[in-house]
Order: sequence, then structure tokens, then C-alpha cells
Amino acid sequence: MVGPGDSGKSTILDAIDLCLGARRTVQFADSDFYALDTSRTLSITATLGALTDSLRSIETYGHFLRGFDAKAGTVIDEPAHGLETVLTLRLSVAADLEPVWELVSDRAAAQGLARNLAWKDRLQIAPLRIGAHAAQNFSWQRGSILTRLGEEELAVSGALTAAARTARESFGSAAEPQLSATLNVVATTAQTLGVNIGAKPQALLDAHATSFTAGGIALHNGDGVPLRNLGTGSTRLIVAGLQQSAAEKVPIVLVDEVEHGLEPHRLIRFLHALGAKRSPSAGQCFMSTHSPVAVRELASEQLIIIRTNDVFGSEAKSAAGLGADGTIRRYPEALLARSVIVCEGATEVGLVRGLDLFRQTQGYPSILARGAALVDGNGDISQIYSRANAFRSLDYPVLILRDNDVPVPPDYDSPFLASDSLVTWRPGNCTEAQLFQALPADACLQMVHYAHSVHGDLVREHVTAASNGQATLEAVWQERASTGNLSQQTRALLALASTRRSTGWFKQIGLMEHVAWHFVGPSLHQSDPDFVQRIERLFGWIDHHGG
Amino acid sequence: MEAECQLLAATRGVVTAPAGCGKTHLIGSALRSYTGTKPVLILTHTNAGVAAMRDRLQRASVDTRKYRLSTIDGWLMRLIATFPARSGHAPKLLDVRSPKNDYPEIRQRALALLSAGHVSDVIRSSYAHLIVDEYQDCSVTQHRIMQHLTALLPSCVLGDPMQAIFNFSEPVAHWDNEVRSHFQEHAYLTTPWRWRNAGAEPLGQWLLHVRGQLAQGRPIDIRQGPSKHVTWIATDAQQGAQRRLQAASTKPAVGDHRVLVIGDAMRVESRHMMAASTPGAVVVEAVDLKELVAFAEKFTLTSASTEMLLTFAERMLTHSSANDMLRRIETLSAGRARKPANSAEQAALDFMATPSWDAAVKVLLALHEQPQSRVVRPAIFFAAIKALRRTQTCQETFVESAIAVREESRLFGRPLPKRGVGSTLLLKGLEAEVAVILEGDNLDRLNLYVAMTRGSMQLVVCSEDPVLGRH
Repeated sequence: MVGPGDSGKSTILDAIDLCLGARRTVQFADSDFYALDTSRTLSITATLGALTDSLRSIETYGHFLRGFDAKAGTVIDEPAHGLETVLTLRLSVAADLEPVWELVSDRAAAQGLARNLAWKDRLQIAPLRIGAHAAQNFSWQRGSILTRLGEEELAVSGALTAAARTARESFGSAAEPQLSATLNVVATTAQTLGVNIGAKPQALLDAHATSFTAGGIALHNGDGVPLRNLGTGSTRLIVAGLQQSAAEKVPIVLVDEVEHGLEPHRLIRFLHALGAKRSPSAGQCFMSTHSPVAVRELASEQLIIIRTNDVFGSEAKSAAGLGADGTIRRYPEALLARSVIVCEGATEVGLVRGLDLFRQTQGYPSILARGAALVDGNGDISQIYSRANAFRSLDYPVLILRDNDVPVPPDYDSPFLASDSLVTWRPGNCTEAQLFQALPADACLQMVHYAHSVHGDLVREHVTAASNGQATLEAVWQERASTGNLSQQTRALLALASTRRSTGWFKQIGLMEHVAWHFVGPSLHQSDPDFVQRIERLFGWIDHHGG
Repeated sequence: MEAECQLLAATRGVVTAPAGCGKTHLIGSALRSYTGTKPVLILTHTNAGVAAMRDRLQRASVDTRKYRLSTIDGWLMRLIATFPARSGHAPKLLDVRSPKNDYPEIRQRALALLSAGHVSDVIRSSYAHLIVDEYQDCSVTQHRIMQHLTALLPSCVLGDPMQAIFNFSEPVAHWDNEVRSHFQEHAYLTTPWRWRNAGAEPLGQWLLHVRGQLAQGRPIDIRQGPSKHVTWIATDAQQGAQRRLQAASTKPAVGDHRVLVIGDAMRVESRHMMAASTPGAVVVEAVDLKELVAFAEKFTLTSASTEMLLTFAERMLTHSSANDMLRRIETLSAGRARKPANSAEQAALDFMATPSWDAAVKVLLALHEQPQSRVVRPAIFFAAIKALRRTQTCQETFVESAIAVREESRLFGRPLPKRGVGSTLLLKGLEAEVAVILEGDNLDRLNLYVAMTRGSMQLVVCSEDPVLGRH
């Protein structure tokens, strides 16, 4: 699950844990109810598929078995041919704050039948939660993964009792010399008062204080150091690995903040340990993440976007639609962003980044801080729109920044125009043309100078060739010196020269970023107001959708 | 004793099991050695069969978690009740108000549910194996249902075509053409365990021979049976009644051995008379306790009902003439009686004065306690007392009480009497040490075989012709 903070990811994990966990009771409080309104019963409903035989038994759960239509995504009250047989479990809490777990089906409700899962079945489906403190799984306490791996009950009570007995005995003889003064006072006092406490009092461990339970048994390394002292990341890695080795016994895993305590390479191993790459997966894992590394590592159908919605609270949507053209793999950050800007190509990405860098020097927050992510459309109209629409279908605010030298079918643009989410240039202009047209003459010459410093005398040849030998770079410089400006004709010539080859002078993110940062940004206040207004709309949109 | 075959090794097998050849034991030993976690589903036809099987399995200390035991129809009812929308039946169907129409519909609904494949995965998950007992009694529809179930579960069915005498309204699946073409022959039981364990192996071996003869349509000669165990009593027009009466009183070799007396299937009254005139004999009743329900439907709490109550008692008890009682009551009420009222007469007077359910119970108990009276039909008599008491304490009509008591007794099965009188149909599945056949000439091949195999030590056959099974 990915999505902005407070969109409900951790709440969903909690809800699964509460509904499916093997607990006899859970403490609820009035504050767990929406707006503290305890008159509205709180309920968590989970439908379980891939049932084991014991969960699918007509003898035990007949009246509660239902059918899941995977195509329509609906649950039908009775199983049928072609549907997956499922059970629906509901936890509800009314004003008395007592949690009630029960299976749900319409027909059972109509007949007044009620039943919960059998305890052994609840133990079987109980999710394993790998939290920040996964170390509890390294002892044999209740619910830890170790207790679920073994076939037999831990038959240690005999050994534990014997150990406690030995401890009591050896403590007495060891402690006596140190406590003898106190013991003597006790003995004398009792004697004086005529109370018989035997010949000599002893200091022994209290039998109650030294009773051991299985929870006291923990894993230790070869040197006897408890494994709970391992780092957070290592602990979580091992627990995940243990879960995979016994997925049929621990079918559901819950992980909050999957990247917690893990460097990128170990995060990837963690995801593998959880079975992320296994198909079909051995179990089911629900996790939340804010890490682009995790997002990139997962398939699009494994990603769920959670965002808040005024009507339903949290809403979940599958990111499967983004999988097709590798958008997620290339722009995992976009999935984690609040808003997405799809740029036509490297030039536009560089332009936005450069302007952003300039704006930061002026004290504005960066677009990253505003939660905006840039996605490259590779200069291809169909790619730009397919990516933009994919994000839009997942309810991301999406803005398209493209140049305007190629006509675009009007229906492509209409949804973006409607939400004021399209920024482009004057008709006919590519980005370079727009810049050479709108910037003050000095900025234009700085751009040419920079291009010359990168590409050398090629720039000079481009100018000559673009003018069919009519003009030279020197002539451009002279025009500036003599007229104090550049004519529209010259500006058009520079635009043409800068884009003569498909490589162009600035068709790399880094080059255009430099141009925007050092030349466009600083001279915006002297530029064509129409252009300035377009740039301001872009940053205004980012501010508007930023958190 | 050794199991002759492993039932659970079959994937779709049929075991032909002549009477007394250790069929139930085979099921028990299969379950005892079964170690899986899913239960084995065991289906049979009658509630009595279920009760008997449960009893046998409990005595063999089979873990109850290893099996689910039910009648076929009971299981089908549960199946469609669990998935009512898929079955599409009217909820009232499951009350079975009209068994004649309702059971066939229940089977049809269940068949449709299973053949559509709606619950195939559920069935597979629920049970490890399927065992069907008394398969020869499966109707054509039940057999089709089993064909679907056996596609889902490894299964083995047991039965004996020579014992197919249930007269269900639906036709029975043909053993050779339908049953044996669907199932593979898994075993043919040939050890007469019932007789061997009773120390009467020659009788058991002869009965297997008899079965073979009858199966091939050949009549058998009673006189050829092992003389130590088989007695033929010739009956004719003059001496028939007397000899049959004597035969019905046959003393078993050991005091606490039981006797089953098999009378004419068609003449119910003659069987009741026989029970009344044979010391210690009681009537074996059909599970529907028809007479109890009929009585409950008519009997009301009025003074005029006294006659109905006494007539009912007359049918249940010996030496309880309703007419004699009514005359005495008249005399007593008129104050003309010289002899004071006995306890039964007093109870009847009390009922007449203030009719109540309790008062009716007192009448029946007082009649039962009269020195000469003996209960000939305990199943109905005591069920009636139970139902009357229930009506007194529960908020329900006498009919509802009677039906509740009937269903209870259906569930717990019939206690086996020391000397029971019934027809082959009623005594099927029951066994005793001694079997007495009163009208051998009237029995067809199947009824004859069932009747002859009811006794484990001694067989007494009354007939005009010593050669039987001609039809």
C-alpha cells in the first residue's frame, strides 16, 4: 500500500490484524469510534479465500460458505460453480466496547445462526505482524512465529520446573554467607518471641518468583547472546525468512513501513524473503511503504494506492494499470508523490528542474517538498498521454507540460484543459523556440554561449547551416551589440539551429537544467509576460496540489 | 477377526456383503486404522441403521471425529438447507409434511445442486472418503446422487442385492445394470461371521449356499439344512394355527437369548394377535408409529373421549377389554355396583369427571398395572404416555408432542425385544439367536433370504411345503 501520510495505510493493517488475529479479546475505547459516536457500531469485515480444507468443511462452516466472483469483485451469499468458495469474518464493536467476532452470511443471519471460527482455525489464519519490534518473535511467547513453526506443543514444562527448582536450591547455598547477619537477627528475634521457625532460617528464591513459562525461552546465537539484540533490519529479515519457510502455517503477514531499518539492498532481500517475486505467491502479505526502492521492486498489480476520500474515508485502488509501459519501474517516486507532472521529454524535465533550482535560491520550497514528481514522456505524444491518464485514473493530480510544435488531437487534451492541468507554449513553438522567443537578448546569447562551451564549433556550423549560409554566430553577436536586442528573425534562426539534430543543443536533462537554472530563471522578470504567465501557472499548480 | 479387505483403499468400489458376513465390522476396522484429519462420510438408509452403526462404532471405540454418520436423506436435507439459494427449494419442504412427495423432491433438488458443481470443492474439503451402507436399497435418484459424490470422493459402497426388500415408492437402482457398472468389484464377503461367532458355522455356511441357490432362482429345501440348527414344522389347514402358535413360543437354548418371530407381511392384525397370544412376545413397530399419531389426532380432553382412550389401551394391552370397562363404569356411576371400583376403573372415572392429559396417563398406567394385563405394543404404548406427559408440561398440542416423541425414538433407534413379532421389512437389520418364520410359503426369494438370516443359532420354519422360494 502506498499513499500520502494519514491516508489510512496503518489503519488498514491494524484492521486486518484485529479482525483476523487470534485474540480472545481486545481493548476498545470510545476514541476508536468515528467522531466518538459509539451509537454507530464499529465493524471490520474480511473475506477469506484460498480456504484450507478445514475452513471449507460443510460440517463446520456450511451455512457460512460463500462465493467470490473474482471478475466482478463481488461476494455472493452461496458458493457456485466457477466462483471461489470464501468465508466472511466480521469483528464488530458496539457501545459496550466488547469485540464480537463472527462469520457472516445472509442465510445464516436469516435463520438466526451465529458462529465464530473455531479457535484452531483462528490460530491458523492469524496474521504475523512484523512491526518495528519484531524481536518478540525470537522467543516462544504466545503468537510468536516460533510457536507456529513447530508441529508439537513445546514440551518443556518439565524441564523448566526442574530448572527453577535447581535455581532455588543453588541460590540458597550461594547467598547464605552474604545474608548470614540478617538471618541471625531473624533467628534471634523469633527465638526471643517464642515463635518456632525451625533451627535456622534460610534465604531461598521465592517459588512464585522463579516459575518459568515457555515465553521465557528465547533464541540465542552461538555465543549465547540473545538474538533480540540483532539490529532492527536483521531481525525483520530473519522473521520474514522464517515466515516463508512455513507459509502454509502463517498464511498472512502484515508489515508496516517495510523499509524500516533496511538499506535498499537489504530491503530488496526482505521483499524477496516475503515472497514478493514468487508466483503464485506462497502466502499473502499486506505492507505499507514510502520507499521508491520497494515500489520499483514490486509488480504494478502488487501495488495499491490508498488515499483519503471525503465520502468513504480511505479508498484503495490497484496500480495494475501502470504496469504496462514500465512507468512504475522508471518513476517509482511518482507513485509516492502527491501530484505528478508529465513532461514531454528530457528538455521539459530539465526546464522544470532548473527553474525549481533557481526558485530555491530565491527562498521558494522545492517542488519535491511540495510532493510533485516529474515523469518523462520521452517526447512521444502517445506515451505522454498514456502515462498521464494512468496516473489520473488512480486519482493523482496530473499536469502535462508539453511544447506546441506538433498538433495534438483535441480529445487528448480536453480532460486536462478541464482541470486547468495543461501547460504548453504558443502555437508552433517547441521549447527552444519558446525560450529564444520569450527571453531577453542577453539570456539568449548566454544560452548560445553555454551551448558553444558544451558542443564547441558545431554550434557555429549549426547557425550557418540553419540560415543556409546567410548568417553567422558573429552576426548574431553584432546584432545584439548594435541594436541592443535580437530580432524575431534572429531568435527564430537560433531556435532552428539549436534543434537541427535530434540531439539538439539542450536535449538532455542536465543541459536544459543548467540553462533554466542560470539563464531562464534569473531573466524571467524581463521576459515576455505571456511566457512568464505560463511558467507561473505551472508552479502555481504545484503549490496548489502540494501538501 | 481380520478385515477381509481395506475399504478405504477403494477409489470407487463395491463390496457385496451377504447377511452376517462382517460388513459393519469391516467399516469399523477401516475407520480405526484411518489416521487422516478429514472425517469419513458414512451414509445409510434408515435412522435405525444409523443408530445401530453408531452403537457398533462406539463399542469398537472408533474416535467420533473420524467419521460423520447420517441417513442419505438426512444428509441431503442438510446439504440443501445449507445452500438454499442454489437448491431453490421452498423452506417448507424441509418440514417433510408429506414424505411421499417431499423426499423425492429433496433428492431431486440435491441432485441438481451436486450436478451443477456448485459445492464440489466444499464436499472435497469436508470429507476424506465416502462409505454407503445398504446400497441395494438406493433408489435410482439416490444412485445418481452417489455417482456425483463418488466423482468427488474416494468411495466404497456395501450392499447385498439379495436383501433389497425395502418397498420405497421410487424404483431401486438395478444392482447388476446400474450399481455394478458404476462401481468396481472391491470385495465379496464370504465368511459367515455372525454364525461362526455364535458357534453355528454350519448354519451360516448353509445360508450362504441357500443365498446362492435363491440368487439363481432355484428353490430350496428346508429339510436339507443342518438339523442341529434348522427345524421345519409342517403346517396344514387343520393344524396350522396351533403349530404356528407353538413355533412362535419356541424356547431359546439359553435363557437370555432373543427370538424374532416373522409373520405375514400383509396381515398386520394377525401378527398383533400372535404377539398377544404368545407369552412374552411384543410387536416390532414401524418407525412412523402411525397408530400413535392417529390416536393423537383424534383424542381430545372430553368425557366422551374415555371410550377412545380405553379402545386405544385395549389394542396395546392384553386382557383390557374396553367394552367390559365401559359397562363397569356405567354401573359404578349409577351407584349400582356391588364390587367397589378397582384402580383402573377409578382412574377412568376420574378422567371422565375432569379430563386432563395427566388423568389420561393415569388411566393407561392403571390398566397396565392390572394383574393380568401385559403390554403387547410397548413402542406405541409408552410413546403415548410420554407424549401425553409432554403435552401436560409443554406448550404444544398432543399431535405435536406425539410427533416429537416419534422423532426422538426414530433418532435413538428401537430397543431389541426379547421376543419380537414383525414382518421381514420390520425386522430387516435386526438379529437374534432364534428366528421363527410363521408363513414360509408366502415369502418370495428376497424376503425368504432376509427372514432366514435373522437367527444366529436356530431357525424354525413353518410352511406347508418344505421346498420354498419358488416365487
